[in-house]
Amino acid sequence: MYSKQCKQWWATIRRVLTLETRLAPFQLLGPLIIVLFAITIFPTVYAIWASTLYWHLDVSAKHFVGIANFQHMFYDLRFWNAFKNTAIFTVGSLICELVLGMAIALLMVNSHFGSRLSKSLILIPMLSTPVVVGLMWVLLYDPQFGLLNYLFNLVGLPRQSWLASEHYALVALIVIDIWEWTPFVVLILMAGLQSLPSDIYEAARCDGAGAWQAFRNVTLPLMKPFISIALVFRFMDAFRWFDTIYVVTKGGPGIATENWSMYGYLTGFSYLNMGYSAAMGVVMLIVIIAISQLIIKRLFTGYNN
Amino acid sequence: MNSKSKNNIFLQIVLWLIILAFTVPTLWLFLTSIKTRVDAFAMPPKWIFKPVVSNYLTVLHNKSFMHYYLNSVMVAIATTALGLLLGVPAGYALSRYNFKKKDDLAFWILSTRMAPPILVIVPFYLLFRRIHLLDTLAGLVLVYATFSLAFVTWMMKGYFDGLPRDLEEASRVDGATRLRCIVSVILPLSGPGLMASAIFTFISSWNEYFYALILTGTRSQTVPVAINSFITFEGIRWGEISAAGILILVPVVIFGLLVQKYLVSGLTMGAVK
Repeated sequence: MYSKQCKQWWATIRRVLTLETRLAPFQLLGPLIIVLFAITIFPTVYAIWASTLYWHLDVSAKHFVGIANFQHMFYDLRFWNAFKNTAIFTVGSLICELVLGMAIALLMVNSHFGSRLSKSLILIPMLSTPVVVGLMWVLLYDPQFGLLNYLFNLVGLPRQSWLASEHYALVALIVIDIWEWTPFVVLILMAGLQSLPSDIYEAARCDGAGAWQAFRNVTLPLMKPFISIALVFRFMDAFRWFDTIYVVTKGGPGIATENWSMYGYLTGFSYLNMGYSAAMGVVMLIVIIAISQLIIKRLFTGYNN
Repeated sequence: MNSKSKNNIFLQIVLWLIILAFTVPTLWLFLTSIKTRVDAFAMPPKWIFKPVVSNYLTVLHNKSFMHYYLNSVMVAIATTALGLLLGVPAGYALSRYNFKKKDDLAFWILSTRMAPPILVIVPFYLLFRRIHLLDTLAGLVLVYATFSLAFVTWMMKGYFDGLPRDLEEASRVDGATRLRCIVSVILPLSGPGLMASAIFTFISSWNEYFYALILTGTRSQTVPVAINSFITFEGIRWGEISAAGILILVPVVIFGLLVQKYLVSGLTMGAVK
């Protein structure tokens, strides 16, 4: 009797362990959910709580202030400057990368001399470590010895110290982002172009459509889902861009290239104002979620119609 | 798109000029790394010169740099291992089982990648300070799970979706348990998917900067943070920085090119096949 029960238990345990019961999906997903919960939900909730505090690490002051941190943002000109820069970085690099990426993808999808080599070479920028990319471009932008100034000289333009100029530093950073991430857009759009059926082009040609008309009225609408995916992923990364800016300009000259991530970092880890830093993180999260949703909804519904 | 159509000569030249423009910065870094100090700062820039390896030797003999390089290797391997350990079973469950709220759960896992690092870094920093995880490799690996887990889960879900269910059904008819099916039928067929997920996780961990900058110190620095140590008070030692930079790029570029075929689906976490 006793041994029979023992056997039954053992059988049940074995069935659980070999994923034979209805618990299986939870056994497989459980560890991931627990860890992911601990390292994402917990910090988010903690950050929201911290954003309601006056919390300076250097004077070890910490008390509840409600929404004061968020109110402070309205009057904080540096916060709005960072917002402006974030917007310029994001919109500027996204538009350029999309246009350039589409052009390159259209060129690359047709067979050409050295197809395989060109497809490998174009990948290198986006695989590269961002810090090394930053240093590489500091070298290229160097006012005295940089390759870019040399090329500028060749065509008769004066030397520039781009990274030290309030006007050009933003553009210089966007150029780096374009160099680094256009290949990513190319890759996605090329996958899209390859998936389009070729007979629709023949149909369009029969109807007398020119190359531009075929692109505008056939290719572009069909490519919408791929464009939106490229946009969402690029948006999320450009919006919270940090590493290259930190290496190349540290937000300078002055605060000319400081974006939200950079300002948030300095607030938290240079000025040790944890509450305000957390509040900025919360605002960024809200904006990221809102805009990602918007891009997905707009472009995908456009596709379905 | 009819991929058999060929570009005309003019378009091919335009394309190759663009590719060249995208290649020059990396090429220039490499050339600087094998130049002497004099050649590196020559004006007009030298394209032909006598290459030297002295910059590489200096970097390779730099004990602390190699220590940080090794840190990067260890963090990337541990991050990858943790990602696969938790992400592969989860991806399998999302692919093969149906349960309530499955889509919501899958989307939640994906959305964890959306959080801006500046949001999660404050809690991590304050918590790690209290439990003595600041400046440790283990702490960094834990934080890197914030991106690696979503990554592996979604990529493997996509890969498992592509494997026919008949495979499991056949061996289950033969009396094999679910666990046995996974271990001896599914996993052996998932080589390319596992490889691609592993390499992507490795690359993103290797390239990560923000968390490493804040959470590590002299003991656990990773190599992207450490490369700044070549920027000294006397100025930037470009030869050595370039050599160090190339040494940092080599593993990720090689790995990335190895999984070229899976790059799109990997980077978009399966959104594009």
